[in-house]
Amino acid sequence: MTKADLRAMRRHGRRPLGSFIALLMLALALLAACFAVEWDWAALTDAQRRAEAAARMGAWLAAFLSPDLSAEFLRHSWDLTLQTLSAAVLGTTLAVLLAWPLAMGASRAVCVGEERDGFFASRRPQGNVLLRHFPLRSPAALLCAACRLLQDILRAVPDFVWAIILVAMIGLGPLTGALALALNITGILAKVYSELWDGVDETRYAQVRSQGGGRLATFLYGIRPLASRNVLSFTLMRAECAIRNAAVIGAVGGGGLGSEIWYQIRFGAWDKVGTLILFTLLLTLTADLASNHVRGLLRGDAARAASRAPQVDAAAAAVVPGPSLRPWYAMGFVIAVVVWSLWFMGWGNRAGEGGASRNHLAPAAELFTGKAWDNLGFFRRLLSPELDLPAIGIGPPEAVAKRRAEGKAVDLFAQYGPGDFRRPAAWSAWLDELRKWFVWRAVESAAVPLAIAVVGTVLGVAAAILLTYPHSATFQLLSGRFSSETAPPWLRAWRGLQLAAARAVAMIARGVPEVMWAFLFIAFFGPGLVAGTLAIAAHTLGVLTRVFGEAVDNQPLRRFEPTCGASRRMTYAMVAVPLAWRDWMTYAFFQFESNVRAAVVLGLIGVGGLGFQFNFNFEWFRFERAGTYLIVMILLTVLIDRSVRMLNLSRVGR
Amino acid sequence: MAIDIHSPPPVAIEHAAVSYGRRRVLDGIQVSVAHGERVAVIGPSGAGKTTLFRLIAGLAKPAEGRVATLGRDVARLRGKDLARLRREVGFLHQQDNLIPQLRVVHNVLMGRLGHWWLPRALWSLLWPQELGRAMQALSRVELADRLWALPDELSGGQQQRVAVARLIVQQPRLVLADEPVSALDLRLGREIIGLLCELAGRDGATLLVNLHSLDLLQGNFDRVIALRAGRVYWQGAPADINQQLLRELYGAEYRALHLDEMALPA
Repeated sequence: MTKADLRAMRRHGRRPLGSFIALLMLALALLAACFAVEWDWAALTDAQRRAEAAARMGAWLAAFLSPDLSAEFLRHSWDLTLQTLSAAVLGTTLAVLLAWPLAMGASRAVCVGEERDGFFASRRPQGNVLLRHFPLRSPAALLCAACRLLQDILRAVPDFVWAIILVAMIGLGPLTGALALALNITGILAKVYSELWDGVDETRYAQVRSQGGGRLATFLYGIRPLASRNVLSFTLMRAECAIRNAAVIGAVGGGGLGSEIWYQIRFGAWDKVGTLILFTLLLTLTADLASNHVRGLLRGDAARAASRAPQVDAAAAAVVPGPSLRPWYAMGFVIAVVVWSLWFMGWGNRAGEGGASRNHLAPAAELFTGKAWDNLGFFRRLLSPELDLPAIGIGPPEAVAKRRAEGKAVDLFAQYGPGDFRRPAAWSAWLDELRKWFVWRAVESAAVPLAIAVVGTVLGVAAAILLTYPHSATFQLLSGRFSSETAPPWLRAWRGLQLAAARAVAMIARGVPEVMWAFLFIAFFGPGLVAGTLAIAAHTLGVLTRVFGEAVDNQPLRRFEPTCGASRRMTYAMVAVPLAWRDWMTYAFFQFESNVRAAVVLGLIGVGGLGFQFNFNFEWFRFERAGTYLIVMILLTVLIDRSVRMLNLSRVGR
Repeated sequence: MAIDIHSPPPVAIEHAAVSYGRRRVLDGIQVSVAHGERVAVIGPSGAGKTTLFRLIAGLAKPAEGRVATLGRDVARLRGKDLARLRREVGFLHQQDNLIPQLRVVHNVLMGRLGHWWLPRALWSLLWPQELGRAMQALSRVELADRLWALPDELSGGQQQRVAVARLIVQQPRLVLADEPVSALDLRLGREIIGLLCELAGRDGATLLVNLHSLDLLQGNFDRVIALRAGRVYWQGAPADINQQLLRELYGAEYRALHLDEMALPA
């Protein structure tokens, strides 16, 4: 570059630094994740432990290749699979039924509606910003805020934690799993529904309002139909997810395949575990394919509707077609499946000991006879979380004095004053002081799921970007249409093979739930952060590769033509990736949010951190402490949700 | 760029035909273009102009006959031959030439992708490589001050100029411009065609332009190829076009395009 060029550059504005800042943030997040918690990489770096892990993996693979195929066990597994399916169906149905009213309450557009200048009328044209977000301005706004709080709590407490609480109320069994799933999914669906409804452009349903429709009419005839396709598509994705979670929730007493897998792992019956995992895969992959198919139909409908819109065909318009029967068929099918699930849960199930039929719906009766609520009274202590206030000098003076005397009270500046902030020793001394306060330790334990989620998501996203290339039909099967290549048959076959292999890897990676990946990695590498991170990364890889691939394959092939001699791989990196990047990052942030919740769950089954602490304190009946951890869990989810929303990174179901 | 007189012609089409399904879109095409020649392709919509360009680029394969672009048979492109051909053929479309998510500098530097290996290309997204080249090309299209802009911040004419700057960086031996100015008004269109012709003149590239409007023919091109219903209807110098020819060529579209208002010999 000549001097003249440099001068011209200086004149022509600064180099934009956005990508450097993003990379810096990513590096900082990774560094923070590495230093906030103690990583034990020995399982991967130490040669001996690596050899041990490899041996365990080999043994497990051998067992997996020779599963227990005795007729008796197969029948048992099949029954458990059906039980899992029925639990997932019931959980999802219940969640949809509960989520609708909750989402209607939580949606600003539906619940608050058009805000006239009322009692708190503001003279400014845009209204007072503070006032517009003040929940006490009207009863409807208060209801809206309350519904949002409820949905946040339902969503933030993972289904596994709900299951632990429900087990204590109504005992073990698939119904417990179904209810736990229902509670968590209600929160998730309500959040997404309300966001989708709020996301509908107001001008599109303004005419319903101008016809005199009230809030309910506006919702039913304006907002709901406009968002229905996205609502349906997201519900399907959640239903698929519910099936995956139902398959593992048995680990904490939720019944189904998970309980049996957990039981057999404890006995080291790897052949039986292999069979059960095969059945899990059968179930989740079937659900995966079915949901793909239906979502494809929905997309096709949308495309057809869009292409039909501009033409006005007089001849076709004259013949009024009868209403399409397909929605009714679909509805009938859904109702039949729900009825079957109810029947199966209650009377059809023979997965108990010795093939004895047991009515799993019976515990639900306890919810109404009040016996379960008596059990719940036992947990009232959960609602009075331990804040350990004497440690920070608040509360009755004698308690505070006692803590001081024991040297267990926080005296932050005992050794180093605030002026010493440049010295690293001061920071570690401050941390040691703070750790004397229980609440601080609870907050610190949230670093573990966060670190796991950060590292796992980054690994998963990176792997998904690499896997999307062989996974993409555009680049493997149709590349000749934009690269002018005439591929000989063997080359086409080779690329087809790569595509099939990539799709199989992605399907298995997402078909096996995170918790099951964690079971496996714990079995290989021992419990700890590494196993949890690998589990999150593997599942993220599978989930993201599918949506990443869709984003690439939805681009018209014409977009890849003017690439100035770039090879196929280069075209992927330089054209396809930038084109899809925004969508990819939206999906990645959404996945990160769900990975944080998943990492809490992994804590429950032995990865450590927040989930582990909750479970530990809960099992030892230290409910006050468990309550504190529960609050940290909720705060963690809510904070991440709010910050992602603030950065405007999350857009669901466009 | 020195032109080797003995090398095969940039475009040689012999009796080529292209079918989509059962329909013949092009039939019996016999076209040869010499080094450095500037050729305009005209004809009514659906005559097969775009398909002719796709045929030359190898994106559409001939059902019959033989097509050689820069001396390479397009029906058997792969490996090194394919890479070289793609490096030496530059495209300019009516729209969507630029990647909207990438800044102007990256879009321009895409012209170098054929010469870079993948790590360098990726690094270039973060720290643009051969920035001087991009600056020079952008100065030639008078957009040097928009180096760091996003394509959406530019007007349609500016976007086409950025695409031309990419061609300047790519230095192709053959430029295929498929209706490059149809989305622009006449003045901007003239500017783009002028830039393309200058590119051809200065770097010795061969230029094929597919034109929808005939106002830009005069003075810019050496030869005109008129297509009608998938066949070459007429070839000749731009000065030889007359109203009679246009009426026969365009048929029903003749009046719609206001061709009768053009100042041409009757």
